[in-house]
Amino acid sequence: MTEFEGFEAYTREYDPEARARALQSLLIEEGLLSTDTVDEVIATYEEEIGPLTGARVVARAWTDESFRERLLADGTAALEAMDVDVDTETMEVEFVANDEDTHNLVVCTLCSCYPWAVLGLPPTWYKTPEYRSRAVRDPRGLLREEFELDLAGDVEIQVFDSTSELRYAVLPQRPPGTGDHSEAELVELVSRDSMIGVDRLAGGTAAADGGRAAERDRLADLERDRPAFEAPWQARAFALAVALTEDTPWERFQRRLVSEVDDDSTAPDPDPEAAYYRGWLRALERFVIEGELLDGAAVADRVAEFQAGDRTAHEFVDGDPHGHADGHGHDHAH
Amino acid sequence: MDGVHDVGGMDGFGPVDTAETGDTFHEEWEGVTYAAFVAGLGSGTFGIDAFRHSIERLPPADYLTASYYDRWVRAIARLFVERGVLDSTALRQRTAAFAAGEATVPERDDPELLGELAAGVVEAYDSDGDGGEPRFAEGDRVAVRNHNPAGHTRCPGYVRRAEGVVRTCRGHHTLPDAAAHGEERTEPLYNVRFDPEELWGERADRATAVSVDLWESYLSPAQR
Repeated sequence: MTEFEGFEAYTREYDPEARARALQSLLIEEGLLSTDTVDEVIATYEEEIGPLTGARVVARAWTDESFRERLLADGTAALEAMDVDVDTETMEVEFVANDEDTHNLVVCTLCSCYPWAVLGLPPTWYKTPEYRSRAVRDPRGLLREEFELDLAGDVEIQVFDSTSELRYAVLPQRPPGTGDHSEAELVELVSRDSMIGVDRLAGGTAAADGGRAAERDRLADLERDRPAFEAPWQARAFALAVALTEDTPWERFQRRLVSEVDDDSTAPDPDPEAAYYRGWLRALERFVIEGELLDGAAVADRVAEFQAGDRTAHEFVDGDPHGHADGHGHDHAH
Repeated sequence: MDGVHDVGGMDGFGPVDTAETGDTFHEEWEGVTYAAFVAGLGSGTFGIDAFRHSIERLPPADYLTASYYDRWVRAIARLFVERGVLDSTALRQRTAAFAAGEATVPERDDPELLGELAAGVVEAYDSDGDGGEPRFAEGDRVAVRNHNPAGHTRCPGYVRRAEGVVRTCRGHHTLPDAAAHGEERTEPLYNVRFDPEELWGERADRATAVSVDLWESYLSPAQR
């Protein structure tokens, strides 16, 4: 061991580029580096190793249940068995799965440990003290304020602080509405950020920016793809959802909606528009009941009254001559 | 060591700059630095633990103000000098020449070298070992010892003295605390899950949990 005398003064006197070039030159002269080696190392990380590998693993897990089970039980073994070029010799990778009630987030508080064999080198923000310090203590605030990912308070966030040997990657949920996508199409949807855990792919879109712009566009997409109203009740369900979510994160309602629409779409439906709004209505019911805006039993009673024809909606319509049966109406619901 | 690198749970760093550049290496010298890292690991000049420890040994103010790859190039240069591969005077003179625009990088191809270094890197990362029966099993409650080693450790400060539950045992792995200082030792490695109240007290967000990989010598049986 030879002490590097004056090390700190040396590092402060010269900029990092000059120090890196000097190191490169001397290592080439010592035979520990060569021109082609430097070029190939850089090309490997810039062009070969990247999040596409992880995206292929995730898409396979979405389409092949037995692969998913193997992946979650022993990530490294599952990767070795797959036709992707993953450097499992230098790294053990554990995939941790998100579900409706659980969200996983990966960090390395001590340095920058990252599942680079499947994701490439980490983004700059992942390596900053800003991200590393807050991810373990306030992951929900971090995701909401820095990554525009607003998770409901009842979604448990499991943070994996990788200290060295094991590298964690997140297996996000398959986005809704992708039932007819091929595995190759699904690969396109998996963002790097979703595999770190700062993106949730809930809207089924992802992009090269890691999915954050897509996240913002989700509502717009949903609106555009939304079928036109076929029956008045569909318009009412839509309007109610918009009104009720004014003071709550839209995402919470939307998550309910997509899960209901998904549940409904497991069987082929002759009338997709109606199925869509059935899902919308169920999501709305769950939303108002679980959010304690309305009592579940009262909603059920009221549904029974409408179904039996004991009640119509006229009483709630401003200026409706048939209304005011029980005194409700004029100063209501604004 | 209780260094400034151990930032888990610290307040005050402010917002995260999430701007994406789209480049793996923002500047060419960063890629060069990565190649120097591969040369150090692949040639066996230093291991991954000694490398991390070299970054931790930077003065706190330098650690926090230097860019990520600047921390790397500092840590790597120091190790090549400390391990006797490069001479600090030669390095300083060459750096001064580059800073003055008076030097160019020599050209030399060596088609065999990348394969040799890659094999060395695999060896450097290989931490699997053998050993006796692990002391703890899945589901056991454990406490993180209040040990404060002066050298390298992979035990984050924020879990010290906290109790958690063993999620899984990972088998035997090289102990970084020993390897960073030239000693080869393997120990069972565990993934331990901590409740938020245990780590953050009354500021905890209850619907969170933190899991950390910890070596056996960091742990003792839980008291509570």
